[in-house]
Amino acid sequence: MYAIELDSVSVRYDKVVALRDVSFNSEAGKMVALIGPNGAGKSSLLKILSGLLRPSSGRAKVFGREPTKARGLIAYTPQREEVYWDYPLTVRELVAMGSIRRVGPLRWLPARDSRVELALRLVMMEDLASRKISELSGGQQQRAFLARAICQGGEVYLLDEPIAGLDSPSETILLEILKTLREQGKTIVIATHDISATLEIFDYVALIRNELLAFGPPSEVLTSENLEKTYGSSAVALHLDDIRRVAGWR
Amino acid sequence: MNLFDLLLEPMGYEFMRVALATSIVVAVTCSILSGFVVLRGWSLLGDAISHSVLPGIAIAIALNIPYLIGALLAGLGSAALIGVVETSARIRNDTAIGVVMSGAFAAGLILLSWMRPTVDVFHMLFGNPIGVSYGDMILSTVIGGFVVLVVASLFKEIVAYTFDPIFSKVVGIPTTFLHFTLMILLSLAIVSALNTVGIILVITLLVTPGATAQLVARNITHLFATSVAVGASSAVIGLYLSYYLSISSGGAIAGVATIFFFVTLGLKTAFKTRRAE
Ligand SMILES: Nc1ncnc2c1ncn2[C@@H]1O[C@H](COP(=O)(O)OP(=O)(O)OP(=O)(O)O)[C@@H](O)[C@H]1O
Ligand SMILES: [Mg+2]
Repeated sequence: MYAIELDSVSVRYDKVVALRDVSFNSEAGKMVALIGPNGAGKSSLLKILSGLLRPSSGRAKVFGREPTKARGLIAYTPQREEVYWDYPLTVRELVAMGSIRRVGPLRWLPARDSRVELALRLVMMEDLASRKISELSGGQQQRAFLARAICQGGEVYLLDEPIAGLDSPSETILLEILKTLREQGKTIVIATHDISATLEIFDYVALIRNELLAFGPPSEVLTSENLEKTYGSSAVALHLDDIRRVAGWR
Repeated sequence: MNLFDLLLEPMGYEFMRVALATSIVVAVTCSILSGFVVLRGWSLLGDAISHSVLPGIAIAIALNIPYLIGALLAGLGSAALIGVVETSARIRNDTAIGVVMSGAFAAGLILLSWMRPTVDVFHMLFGNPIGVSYGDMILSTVIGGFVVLVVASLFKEIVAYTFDPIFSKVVGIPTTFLHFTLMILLSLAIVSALNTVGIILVITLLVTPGATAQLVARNITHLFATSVAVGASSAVIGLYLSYYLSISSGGAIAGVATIFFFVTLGLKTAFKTRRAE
């Protein structure tokens, strides 16, 4: 059984066609990167997989189930812009939110929760647990949200732009954490519009621009022609040569 | 006369005891919701709901049903109408609110001036805690208790939903239900405040305590505790001021809350500058 399955999924908003006929699968324990420019439909695809959005046509499955029937298996982190940053939430309070489902209705979140502490340790944020999330750096904020996802205890991690705007040390830390999760058998799907050498750690790359342009291992998919199709400019393709040198592909 | 006597003297009057109890209950009810109102930027929405209560009261008087029911239905109706206008006309949320709020308020004024009811419109607009009856006090207490109970039992869900609505949907929190629950609580709180601070000034209690708390809060629990403390002290101090200075009590309560906000802001700015030096 596949961890995630997309079968000719299309998404239409009123007039805009965000995604047309997208199909691909991934086994469990893999890291998948959805890559494409702004408006390519990456967030829409993650929303389909998390059950937030119904495909206009086609089908999406998570471990063989409808996403809305697989809630306990899915951990989702929205794009930065979609949360209210004014909240005086501490890192610990944010991470504890991941336990909501497990605690169930009409109960308060426990003051001390070993899963919260474990998640904080995994993302190396124990020291910052009492800090307000609005007072963290971008990289720390992403790690805090990742900790919340870990606290949810899902099997499939759907992360919308977790590395956007991070400097390269922060990006490396975050990807290391994702690799740890993969070693534990978790499936990870991230959306990103950055093409960088770090993409080589992913098992699959999906190039998207309102349709699936290419899907496969990074070394096969990230070719100049494919990137030009995706971004519509040769600037990216030039940039790719540097990346290839660094990553030592072909 | 010493301070103790100053505090005790007004309490010799039954109407002052009722006024004080009701004002505190109303302030606490509003301050709890204030946290969410401020964080989610619902100030204008709260204002709209409170203004829309006026035509509801007018219609209820005309139909000879309890004004409370008219007020509540009108409040909820306006919250729903704003949602509809916003999504169907695709206009900005504050524009939709402006249109609905002023329209409803105008309708209320027209109806009331035409019907010339026996109720005092001025008191509804600006409140009159001194005139609060025993029944009003019990009503406010029941509403307050209900609001506290609902917020306490759904606290983690409400916080999650108001902070990160998309995540909440994914975890299976009933977000639409929560949204309507919050609108109902907001309308109830506004109705409970009609007699004490009135339609125009209730927004102070729904915005200012939360805004003051937001200036200093280190975490979520702290935010709500501070908000309630600010709201309740404003009610007490405001009522005493109105007694001794013979000024509008609704105005005094709202005024004290506002002073709390600016003093906190001033202190915060001063400390920040000093730390920066
Ligand atoms: N709620 C919505 N209503 C209408 N159109 C939408 C909505 N959400 C997305 N779209 C449109 O669908 C298309 C895909 O959007 P989506 O957010 O999935 O792209 P994305 O790849 O995540 O972009 P970004 O890199 O900017 O986050 C865009 O053209 C967008 O304008
Ligand atoms: Mg996106």
